[in-house]
Amino acid sequence: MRSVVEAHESWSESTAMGTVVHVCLVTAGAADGDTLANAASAAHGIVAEVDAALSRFVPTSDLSRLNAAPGRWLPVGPHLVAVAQAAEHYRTRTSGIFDATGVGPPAQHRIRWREGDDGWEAWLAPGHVADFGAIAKGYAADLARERCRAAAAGVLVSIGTSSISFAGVAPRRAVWRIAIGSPWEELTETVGYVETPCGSFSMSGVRGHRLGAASLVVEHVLDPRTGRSARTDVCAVGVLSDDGMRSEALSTATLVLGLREGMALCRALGAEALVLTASGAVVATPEMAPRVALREGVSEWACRRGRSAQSTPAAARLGANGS
Amino acid sequence: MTRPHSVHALGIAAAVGIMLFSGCSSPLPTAAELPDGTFRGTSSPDDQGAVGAIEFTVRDGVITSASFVVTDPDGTVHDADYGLSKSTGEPVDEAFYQRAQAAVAAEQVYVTQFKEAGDVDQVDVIAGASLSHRQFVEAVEDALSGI
Repeated sequence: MRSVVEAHESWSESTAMGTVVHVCLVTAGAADGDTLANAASAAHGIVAEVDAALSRFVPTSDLSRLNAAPGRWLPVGPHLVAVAQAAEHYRTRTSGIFDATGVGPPAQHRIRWREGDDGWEAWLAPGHVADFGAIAKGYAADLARERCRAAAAGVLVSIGTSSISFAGVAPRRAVWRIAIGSPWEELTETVGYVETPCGSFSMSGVRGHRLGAASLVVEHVLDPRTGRSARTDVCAVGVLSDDGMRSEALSTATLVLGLREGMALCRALGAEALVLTASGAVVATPEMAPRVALREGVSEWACRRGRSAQSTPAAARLGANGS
Repeated sequence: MTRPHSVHALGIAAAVGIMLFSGCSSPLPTAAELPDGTFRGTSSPDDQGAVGAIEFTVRDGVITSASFVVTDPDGTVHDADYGLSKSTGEPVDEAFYQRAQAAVAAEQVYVTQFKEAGDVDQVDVIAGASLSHRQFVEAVEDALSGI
């Protein structure tokens, strides 16, 4: 059992990867201000470095150069190689459901890499476009966390609140507490929270979904099997594992696959999942369930919703109870 | 029933608000700094030519409603029926739909195991699905470009 210590927290933020990056450093007792500032700076710096290498919107990034010259070997940095390796690994492990290289002509290898005398090189199959958006955030959050580990008793790194990596001492209790934003229009408060001592958490999905339909279209997630936006019964999913890139790949895959296949995949690949469905149900893998606390009223509401997608007065009551 | 994204008012309004207050990609005014009125903007086309269009209304410094709609070059709106055949109303790719709906018998609903949250607001961080994709940002910036 982890004990709660008198802890002090220090927050900092920056803008990178198209969103806001938050770093929380926790110290037990007095801390050297310069040490903390340097650690935070290093964390924000590595996220910016990953962004510069893997952004699709920076023409000089390794990823943009690779997308502009498919079929050619190009010199790239270690960040692209690390994420490309993971992307290909999880494309295989998810049977192509997670695919960072988009829809294109059949190819044995979508992206390849090799280490030569002058450093790393990478190659992209013609007809494909690589986009490491989510998995790059998971990679960057984990890297930033590790940059701070020696300087603080506890670290949390959040990139856009959808990629969160944390380890060590939490500021107020024995474990970190991550609130889950509601994807449902009918519930404006958080759904509840997940408690865990360490790990990498990825949240994917939509916001503002109005209950009623059993499925929805997630515009920003492509289903590689159809080449179109994913149609799914999952509104939002949070995946917890010991690796940020695994959490990101599986949260995206769960959105595409839907509730039951997605949760089965998470369990098969050693991750825990919390799924919020289009019809209002809250579902978790057995490992995740004990970590989750729901806001008062949500549990009963979710049970009702889980059995039926019919609109009930419970939704209105939830708003009152949950506020 | 077809339900365009324009009805996702609260969620989109919240996202617009977050973007305005955080100034994601460039300095933007806060909602409190905007005059009352309705603001409209569009994004540049994506790789497939689809364009995002945003409309939001500000009253007394608060975003009261917002919509964000993505439309294909042929006019098809990305709504709840996107991916369904226009003639039959069925999924264009039945194999996909069947697979996505396929049940894994071993899985169960575990909501009853959850503990009730007594102090749910005392959290370290709030996780939420990101809405900071390029077209959304571009559309908001376009809507505010004339201010």
